[in-house]
Amino acid sequence: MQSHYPPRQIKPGINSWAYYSKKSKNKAVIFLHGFGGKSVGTWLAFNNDLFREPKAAGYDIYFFGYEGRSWDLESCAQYFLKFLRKLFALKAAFRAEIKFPERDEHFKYEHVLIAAHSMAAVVSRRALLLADENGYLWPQKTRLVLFAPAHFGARVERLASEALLHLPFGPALMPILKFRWPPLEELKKESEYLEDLQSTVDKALVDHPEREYLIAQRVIHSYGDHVVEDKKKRFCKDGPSKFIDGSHTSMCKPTRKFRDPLDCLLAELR
Amino acid sequence: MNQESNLRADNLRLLTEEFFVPAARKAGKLARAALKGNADRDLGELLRYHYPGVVTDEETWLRDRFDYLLSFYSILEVAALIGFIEVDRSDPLFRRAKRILAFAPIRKYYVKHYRLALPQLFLKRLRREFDRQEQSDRSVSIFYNFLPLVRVIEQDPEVETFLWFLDGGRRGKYNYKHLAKTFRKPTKFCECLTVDRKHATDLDRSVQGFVKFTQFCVEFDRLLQDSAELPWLQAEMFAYHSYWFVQCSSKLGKKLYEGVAVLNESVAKIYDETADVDAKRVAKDRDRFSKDLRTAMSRLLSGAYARRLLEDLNW
Repeated sequence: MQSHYPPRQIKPGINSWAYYSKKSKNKAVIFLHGFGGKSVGTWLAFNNDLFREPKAAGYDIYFFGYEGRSWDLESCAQYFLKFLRKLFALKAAFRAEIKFPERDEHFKYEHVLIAAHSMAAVVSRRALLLADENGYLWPQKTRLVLFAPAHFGARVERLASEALLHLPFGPALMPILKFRWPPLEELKKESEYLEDLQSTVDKALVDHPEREYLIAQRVIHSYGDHVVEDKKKRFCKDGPSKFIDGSHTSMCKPTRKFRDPLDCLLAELR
Repeated sequence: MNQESNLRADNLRLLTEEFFVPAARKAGKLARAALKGNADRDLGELLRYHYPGVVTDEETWLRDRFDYLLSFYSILEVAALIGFIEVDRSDPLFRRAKRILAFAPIRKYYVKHYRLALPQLFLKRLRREFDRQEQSDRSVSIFYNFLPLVRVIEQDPEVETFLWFLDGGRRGKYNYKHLAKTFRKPTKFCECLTVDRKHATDLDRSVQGFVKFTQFCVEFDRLLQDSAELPWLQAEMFAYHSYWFVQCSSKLGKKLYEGVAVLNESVAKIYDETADVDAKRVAKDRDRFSKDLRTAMSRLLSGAYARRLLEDLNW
C-alpha cells in the first residue's frame, strides 16, 4: 500500500524534498541534517522502511537542507525558523513553493516532529527559542528528537573530517576551515554560543515550564560516535539518552539489518 | 478505471510534473519537429560523439536538454519495472516516447555514443519486447529514496564541473590537471573547498564537486546494498548512473583513487610536520577515509550491480 505521493523537490532550503501523505493527519516530520550534511544524504535509507510503517502513514515527511557549513549557527537557526513559520502558516504562495498537494484551504499542521542530527540539535532548539521570543504559538505543536546532538560541543577536527569522508584535516588546516566555516568554532566544547543556548533554555523552562517543546523527547547517541562531547550529560531537562550502534554519521542511516534509528523515530510518532 | 489504475495514473502525473523538466520538454519538441522534418537543427550532427572535435557552448546546452529527456524516460522505466506506473501504449506520452527513442539520431546517441541501458530497456518495453516486473513491499520506498539522488548529478553545478573535467572538458583556464594539482596542496585544496558559492571559480567548483561526488558514491552504494533483495530494481537504479561507473570506469576509478591517495599523502605530510598529534590516530583516520570510498567504488566500478541487465542487452 502506497501511503505517500512521490517525492517533490521544494523551493525553500537547499535541495529540500517533501513526501506528502495521501491521508494526512495534519502531522509532519522534518529531518534536519548537521554540519556538512545533506538534506536527504544524511538520512539515507530512512525512507526505505519509513514509508512502510503504518504509524508514518499520516505524516508528511520533509528533508530540509540548509547551508550547514559556511553559515554561522544563528543564521542557520533563523533560516530554519523562517521555514517553520511559513510551514505553520501555510499561505497560498508558500503552498506553491513547497508543491503542497490539494488539501483543504484551512489545512494546518497540528503536530510536527523535528528529527535533528548533530549540529541541527542546536539549530532546531535555537529556532524554537527564537519562535518564543517572537511570540509565536506554533512551537507548542513541535517535538524534538535528537540524533547525536552536538549541544555540548564537538571535537571539531573530527567533525570536519567526518563531514568530508574522514579526510583527516590537520591542525595546520583548521585555521582556514574555521575561518570559512564558523560552526566549527561555535561548536567547540563550552563555546559561548552553546553555553548561551543552555542558559537560555534553562531560564525559559524555569519561567515557562509549559514550554515542554524545548525539551527533547528523545536523545539518541551511538557507541561509536567520537565526535560529540559529553554524551553522558543531559542538556537542561532532556531525558536520558538511548545508545545504539554506529558512528556519528552511520547512526542515522538505518538499513534492513539495523533498524534502531527508525524504531527510535517511530516511537515518537503518534 | 479501477482504483489501482487510478493510483498508477496519479503516479505518472506526479512523476511527470516533477521530472519532465522544461529542458526535457524542449528536447521533446525539437525531436518531434525533426521527426516531421521541420527542425532547424540536424540532430545527427548535434548529438554526435564529443571527441575529437569541439562541442560549442550552445550545442552543450541543447545536448543537455536531450540528457534530461533521456533521464525522464529512464525514471519511467524504473517506475514501470516496479509497477509504479502503468505503461498504457495508447497514452500520447508513451506514443511520443516510443517515436523519439526509436528516432535514429537519438538512438545512436544513447546506444552508440553514450551507452545508456535504461532508454534502451524502455524502448523495448514500449515495443513489448521487455516486460519484466519486480515488486515487493519495499520497492516503492526504495524508488522514493532513489529519486532525490537523481538530482545530485543532474543539477549540482559543482558535481557537474568535476565530472566535466573528468570527461576531458575544460572551463575557462581550468581542466582536470589543475584539479589534480590541488590534491598535492592541501592548503589550496581547503581554500577551494571552502570558498563561498558566489565567489567560486571553476577550479573551486571542481574541488567541491570532487568531494560531493565521492560522498554521492558512498550514499548511492549504500542504497544499492540495501536493495539487494530486488536485483532488477537494484540493477536499473545502478544503470541510471552507469555512464560514470561503466563507460568512464577506467578514468573515474583511476582519478578518484589517485586523487584520494594523493590528498591523503599530502595531508599526512602536514601531520608529520606537527609535533603534537597522535600519529597512530591520524593513520587510522586516513585509513577510514579511503576505506568507505574504496569499498563503495570497487562495487560500483565493477559493474556487478547491473551485470545481468547489461548481459541481456548484449553489452
